[in-house]
Amino acid sequence: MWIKYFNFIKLRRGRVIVPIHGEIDFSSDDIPIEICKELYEKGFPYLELTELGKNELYGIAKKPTLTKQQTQLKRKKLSMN
Amino acid sequence: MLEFTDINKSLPNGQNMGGLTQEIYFGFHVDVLTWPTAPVAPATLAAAAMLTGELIMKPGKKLFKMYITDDTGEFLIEPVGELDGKSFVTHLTVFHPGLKDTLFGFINAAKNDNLVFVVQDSDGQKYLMGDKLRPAIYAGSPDGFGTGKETAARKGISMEFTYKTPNLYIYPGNIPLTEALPG
Repeated sequence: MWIKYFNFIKLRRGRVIVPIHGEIDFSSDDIPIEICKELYEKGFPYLELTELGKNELYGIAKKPTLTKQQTQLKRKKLSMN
Repeated sequence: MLEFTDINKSLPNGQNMGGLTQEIYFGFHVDVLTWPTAPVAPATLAAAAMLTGELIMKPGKKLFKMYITDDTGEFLIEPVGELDGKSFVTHLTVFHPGLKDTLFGFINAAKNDNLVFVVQDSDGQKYLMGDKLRPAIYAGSPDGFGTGKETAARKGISMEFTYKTPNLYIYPGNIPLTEALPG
């Protein structure tokens, strides 16, 4: 399902006429991911990647978020250096 | 500095079908938030004909589509002006069948207002009628507007819209048929 990988932005979810593919109804959950990927890569302004999309479609791993304790430890280490 | 290049026969997949698709897209000129931009100092002939960016509507606004009878839609380019003052008037002529309330409402609202159109030819190439400075306007009904005389006549409304432009451009962007969100 494409909405796991892309957010539809700037417009209410619905119909857009796009080059080559014609009218696509983005309120549907059944748009092939390959089409979304193609549009995104061509600079389609109404799609952005979700974290899962970045990770699974493009292999961009999310930076691990540190817990409060880990952040404090890191700061301590830095200040000791 | 623009460089001339050879202009060869270019019909991808041998396609060169005439006419427009059976839908045109329209909205009020005032509802457009940002317009695609014309090329500035393009280096090639192709770049000199291509708009950049998207037609973005104001929050809550969108473009709408209108059905037109097949083989009645035409996007015609008329060069105008005197020597050293040449420009273009583009004409969109279409026929919509029937005389229903929504069509009357459209003409009532559109006849004296500023509009924007996107039309698509049979190869999918799109043309934008309207820019930041100039709208498309209703120019009349060149092929009739009414019931017709005979029972075999075609009842409906022909419409012509015109747009004056200093240069000719292709619009490679998208057509939003859904309301824009704020921000």
